[in-house]
Amino acid sequence: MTHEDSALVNARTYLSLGKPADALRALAPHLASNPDDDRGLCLASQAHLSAGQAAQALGSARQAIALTPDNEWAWRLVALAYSKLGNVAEAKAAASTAQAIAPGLWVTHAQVAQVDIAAKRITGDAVEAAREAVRLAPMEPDAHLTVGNVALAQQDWAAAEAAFRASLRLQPDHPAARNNLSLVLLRQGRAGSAAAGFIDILVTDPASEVALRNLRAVAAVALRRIHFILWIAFAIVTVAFSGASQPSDSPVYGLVWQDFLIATAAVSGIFVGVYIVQLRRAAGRRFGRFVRSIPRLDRLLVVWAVLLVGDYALIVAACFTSVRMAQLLYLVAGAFLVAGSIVVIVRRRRSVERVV
Amino acid sequence: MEEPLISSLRRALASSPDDIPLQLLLGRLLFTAGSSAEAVSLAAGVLQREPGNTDARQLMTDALTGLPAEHVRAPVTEPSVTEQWVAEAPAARAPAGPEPTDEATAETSEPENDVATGVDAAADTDPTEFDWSAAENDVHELAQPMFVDATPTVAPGSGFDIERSVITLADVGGMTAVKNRLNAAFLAPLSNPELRKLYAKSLKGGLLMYGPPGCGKTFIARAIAGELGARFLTVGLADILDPMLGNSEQNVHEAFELARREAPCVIFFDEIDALGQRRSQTRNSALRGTVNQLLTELDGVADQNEGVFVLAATNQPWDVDPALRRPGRFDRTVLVLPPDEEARESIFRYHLQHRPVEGIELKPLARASAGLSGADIAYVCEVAAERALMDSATTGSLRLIGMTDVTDALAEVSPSTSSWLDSARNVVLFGDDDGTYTELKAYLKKARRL
Repeated sequence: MTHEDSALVNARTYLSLGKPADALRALAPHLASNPDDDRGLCLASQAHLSAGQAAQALGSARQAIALTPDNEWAWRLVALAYSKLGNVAEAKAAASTAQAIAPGLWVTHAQVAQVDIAAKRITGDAVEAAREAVRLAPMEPDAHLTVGNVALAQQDWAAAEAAFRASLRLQPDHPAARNNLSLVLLRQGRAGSAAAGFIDILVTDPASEVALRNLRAVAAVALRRIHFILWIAFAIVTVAFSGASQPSDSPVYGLVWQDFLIATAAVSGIFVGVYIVQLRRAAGRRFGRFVRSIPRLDRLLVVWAVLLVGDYALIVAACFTSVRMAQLLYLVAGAFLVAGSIVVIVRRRRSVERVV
Repeated sequence: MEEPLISSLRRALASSPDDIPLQLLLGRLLFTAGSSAEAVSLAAGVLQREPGNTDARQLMTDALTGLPAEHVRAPVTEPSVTEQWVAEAPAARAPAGPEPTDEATAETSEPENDVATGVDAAADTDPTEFDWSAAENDVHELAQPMFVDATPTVAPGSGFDIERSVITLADVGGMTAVKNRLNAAFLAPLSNPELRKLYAKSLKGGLLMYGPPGCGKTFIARAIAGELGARFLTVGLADILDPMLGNSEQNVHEAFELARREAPCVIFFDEIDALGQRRSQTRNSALRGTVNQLLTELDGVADQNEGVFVLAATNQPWDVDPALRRPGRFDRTVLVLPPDEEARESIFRYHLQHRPVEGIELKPLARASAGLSGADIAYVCEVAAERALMDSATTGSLRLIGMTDVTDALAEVSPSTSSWLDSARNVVLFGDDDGTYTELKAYLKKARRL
């Protein structure tokens, strides 16, 4: 093995360890003495991409193409760099060139699909390219991931779930497949399973900001569901008695109203309880960690949760006090629900994130 | 030939080094005799002990402002090495373009570049500007290397640096908890063989230090070597990494062999997470076998060799292969946290002691810098020095680094440990609570991060 080769292998090793700066350091003397080495330039481009330097990555890949125009790797790197820079047209053109140069290589097809996924505009070409990638490399987890990402972008949850599960069968600790599968589960309303998935990612990669944000989104989804149940209960009681023939201060009205309140509180409590049990069952042993993590994820989530708990506590208290006091507590509970809704509005909606 | 009075004063100062008036007198004479650098050094020494000493401040100012102005030039900002080669590779192929260069040649060719870009020529036109090169020459004696107490040597027949460290844990300011833990887990059993026998305490296994970057893990490792009177062998990923199949494993073996030959020796694996990454995550062929080799060597150390002490450091203990953490391997862990107040004071003192400072109150600085790592504090001092330097350059009159410079720099620098602590919080929050991170959990709770 020559000295040049060893520089490239070392750079690859550093890249695999997530150390792009070290990779660039390893490549620098090699490229200084071999500026015409297209493989070295491609590795440099890859390292720049890993370091979040898309413009430099584009420069290195373009240099590699100037040296060897039929270098499919360099064209893929150009496509990726343009994608990151937001130039979809150039990215598509570069990915298509790579595909034309090496039609038998699954990554070139995956790259074509990847451009559309990153641009969030799925075309027929992307669907076809993703399928071709899996056809060429059925044992490659990333090929299945690409198919899943295309399906996710098209909101075809079933297809996306199948593809991500296929990817995870081939590589059980694949973080992107795990994240995106959890995302699909969240979209399908399976918040507990989604939380478990995101927690699994955080266990192996505690620095994963994406998983943390998505876990926050799961917590918000769960609270929104509970909030919705309580709103419905409140609305039923209010609407049912707003058109009553009896005056609201009459004893008969008060007693019936309180009985109705007790029934509604019980039913809504059962609904909330069932939902929490479902969450717990789906999340398994990670449920406790999920609940404990909520205060650390977002302070406003805590405020929201406190308002919901306060609301329900007030309704329960209203069931067992005098009618006058019950009506007062009921109004305060309504104010808690409104405050909770304001928190929802104030709290910047944190969108879930795909890993592509 | 030195003046007899100066020589006599030197002798007097040697016998009573704490005599401040004598230091100032000698400094004044040295300044008059043209030895400005020595005068600055003496004045700095006095100011360190008496920050408010006006005579010392005057001497410092005089000595610094008395610099001759010969070669005035503007600072040049060089692009980074990586920027150079990426940007200049095509130009290098053209006959007129500059050659791409590595870091070493970039440094040596800098004056030529200056000439080529006409910086010196421009400099001659404005004699009122600050004289950077003369100032550099004058203060260069003041700038001491960071650590002069260890002399690295390359062991014959290997690429590893081995050194004899003379620093000990006494040189580590503050961090009492870490020192106590080190003593209990590592040093006390080593230094008390009888007690060790009595309690049947095994010496097998190594010590893993973990914590945020820049908090002194390597320094502590050196201090442990000094404490043990052992040689110190640092092994990093770059020392081990070899693209040839089997060579990385061979390098690991050679490192251990070298440590055995040089015993007593501390073998220190820096960034063990890279070298001993979870094998499930290691897809790279060059590193696949290194974890196994490390395990083999660790298992063999206690039986085959006396006097080889294995230490490792990592910022990401959660990425280390669990096999390396099993009993008999890196089974003892020490959390090295951002420095406590006492340690921060020492670090500020260390980084300011060779700089021209006045009126620096270390205690308030130490109090105001909670959460900063040692590296952050070094950077604060650097920024403070830069501010004073730039101010001097702008106004044309040199001034000392003051408290305001440091406090302003402190306001600019945010703790680099935050992202690590966020990750650590996720580990504690979501990971299995098997007791591995009990110490970390306690710290995060205390720091209200959990």
